[in-house]
Amino acid sequence: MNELNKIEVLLVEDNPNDAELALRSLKKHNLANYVHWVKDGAEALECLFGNGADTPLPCINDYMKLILLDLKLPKVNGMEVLQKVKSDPKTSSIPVVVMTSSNDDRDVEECYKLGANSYITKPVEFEKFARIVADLGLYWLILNENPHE
Amino acid sequence: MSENKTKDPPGLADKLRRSEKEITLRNESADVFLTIPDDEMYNEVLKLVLPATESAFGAFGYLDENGDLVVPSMAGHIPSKYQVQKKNISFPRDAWGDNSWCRAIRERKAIYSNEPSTNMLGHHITNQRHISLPILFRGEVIGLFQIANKETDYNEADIQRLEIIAGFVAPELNARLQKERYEEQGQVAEENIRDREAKFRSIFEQAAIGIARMGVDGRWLEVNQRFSDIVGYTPQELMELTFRDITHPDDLKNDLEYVRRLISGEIDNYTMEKRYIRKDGSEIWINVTGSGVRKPSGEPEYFITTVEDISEKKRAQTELIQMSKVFMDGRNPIIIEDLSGNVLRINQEAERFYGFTSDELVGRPITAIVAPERHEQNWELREQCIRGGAVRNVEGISRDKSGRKIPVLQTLSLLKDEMGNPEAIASMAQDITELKLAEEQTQRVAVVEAANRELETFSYSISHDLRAPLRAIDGYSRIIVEDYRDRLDDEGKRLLDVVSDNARKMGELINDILELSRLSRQQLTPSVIDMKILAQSTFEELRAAAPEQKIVLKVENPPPARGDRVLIQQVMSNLLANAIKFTGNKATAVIEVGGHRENSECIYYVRDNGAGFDMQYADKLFGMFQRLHSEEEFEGTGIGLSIVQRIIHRHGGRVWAEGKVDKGATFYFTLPTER
Repeated sequence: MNELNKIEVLLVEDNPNDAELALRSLKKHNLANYVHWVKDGAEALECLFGNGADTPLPCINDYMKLILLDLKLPKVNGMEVLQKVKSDPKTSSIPVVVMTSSNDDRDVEECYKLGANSYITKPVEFEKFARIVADLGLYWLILNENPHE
Repeated sequence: MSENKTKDPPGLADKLRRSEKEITLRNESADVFLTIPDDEMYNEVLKLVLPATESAFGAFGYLDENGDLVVPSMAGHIPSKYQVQKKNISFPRDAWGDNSWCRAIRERKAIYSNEPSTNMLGHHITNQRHISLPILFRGEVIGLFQIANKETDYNEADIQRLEIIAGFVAPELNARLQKERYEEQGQVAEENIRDREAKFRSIFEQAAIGIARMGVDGRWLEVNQRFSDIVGYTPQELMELTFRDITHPDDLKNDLEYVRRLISGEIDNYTMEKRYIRKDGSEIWINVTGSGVRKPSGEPEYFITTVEDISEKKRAQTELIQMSKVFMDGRNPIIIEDLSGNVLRINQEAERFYGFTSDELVGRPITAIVAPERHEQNWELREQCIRGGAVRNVEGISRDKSGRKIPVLQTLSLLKDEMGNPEAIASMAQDITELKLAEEQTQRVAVVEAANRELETFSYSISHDLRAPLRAIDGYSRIIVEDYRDRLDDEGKRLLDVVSDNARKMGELINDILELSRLSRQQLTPSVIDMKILAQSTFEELRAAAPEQKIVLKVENPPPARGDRVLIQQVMSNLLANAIKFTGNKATAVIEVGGHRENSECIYYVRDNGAGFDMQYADKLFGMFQRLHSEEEFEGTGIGLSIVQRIIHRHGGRVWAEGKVDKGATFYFTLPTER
């Protein structure tokens, strides 16, 4: 599992409980050595594109494998973050999985239109949630072929 | 006519001679008056008078109708320089002085003087002696003699002699003056006649109506310009025609009958409306009056025909008839009211619309058909109409005889008389009951839609904000169970299970609510659905979830439905799931599905022999989260039937249920056969 050390996951989640549950699930399956957690859309953009200047934070590197993105976020909402990530060539190839409480048809449609790679409705039951996070981690971090490699 | 008279000796013989002389004078003067023309007469008389009174010269005048003295003649030995060339010298009465002749006329007696004076008529020559004598007829002065310059003094005898002559002359002069006056008047009369004829001629020619003289044979004898204009023929052309030639064939029979009666004397005149055929072939409506002029023998000599062009009137009449038909038969109620709002006329539709007969409404105030709360508005509209000429499509409220209020659109038009003065108001109403209902419906729909939108927003936020805490509750209780398993006893684990279980249930509730919300905005895609196949396939799916239950499904050939396949399947699924659920306690569950077509809708039912329900709660069945059974008995969120109701309502159908406790339940729903 040495390759996993290289994995970087950006978790964008404002709810600390949901974040903790997600991190726990990833950790449990040894998928989360390099998870970076931000609490709102503005932080996410800063992390990805720097603070207005062309100085990306260290987390932006060739090993960035996955962004887990909530939609309903303070300051800058998830949809906007998604749009920025997918319209910038530096980040457009990073898989983005939208994980949200909403299963609203319009949201799903809009996210796929903006280039989301998956759209997952967070289940209320922890067991299902944990399994989904684990499955996602396995799929996107291990099974999926990333163009960087 | 003897001018050379010998002097008579005095005495008897003298007397005799004098009377002979008088007779001669009388005859001669009469002769003069009868034979001598006007101009010379006066002179001739004077020629008799001067020798008879041995006077050297004299004057003879008469009073004209104004009382002025006119002297046509002066004669005798007047020096030529005093001769007056002018024939008639007129002495206006108001210019008279107190000369002897003036006094003689005024005092009606002879005035004479043997003293030299200048009292001669019109002459300022001095005379030696003179007599001025008025000529009296029936006590009135009609003329004057003045003689002068006898060789010897004048005396009473001269006056007497002159008076005698004046006596002869008076009646003759009077007769002549009268005659002249008559002649003058006659002349005036003749002039009057000529004048009047000219006037009549110009009236005839310039009259605004056609006038014609027609012979008894029907030929035109004379026509005026207007007549010629009306028929389009020149007067010359008409002279070759008879009235029969230019009368419309359909009107000829009546006309001929009138003429016959006119000739026979049954009638003196007649008037009729008929048509002429003009020269260009067009018809013209005229009003004709015919009368006959008869010879003294009584037989008619000719006819006078007056003709008035009434085509405009006829056109207006026709138009009026057409318009009143439009008014009477119009599809909208129309009321004509006077300016103070009293009903003058109403049309048939108004009778039907307001429920009043024309007789009941005419003469009453218009407020009889206006809702009381709109009386003021009605008054204002009328004022507005009188000021502005019209008021269009203003909403108001009418009422009919029974007092029922009817929403209307009102249009008021001002009717004016020929002089353009406001006379009446025509008010038309249009029933907008349907429109109003539709409007209210639209408003209701708008309210419902707004509510739906709100519900959506609400649901959306529920889905986000309510789920996260639930996930935390469940997640953290699971973590406790996972991480602290060793330190928890069974009761501790059970309690945490209860926490998780409730979190899960609440999650399901939230999902159902979201589903319901989704239904209200999802577009319908209608198609024809075979309800038998739908019922069977849906049942098979559900059956798989309860394999141990003994269930019999009977499907009774329901008619095909028109609706959104996915949603109708949801309905069927919810109803069948209910049926399966509530027959869970039965040894053998029997579920029947059927339906039939009735009028413009299909009625379907899903019947079971399960737990049933109390009919008094029937209206609560379809309410959100309404449950008639405890969750211990039958689990569920209480939202399935709400979803059914919402789907059916969106399709324009109805849902209801019948049931009895422990005797099963039947759920009905309808779907319209057409949109």
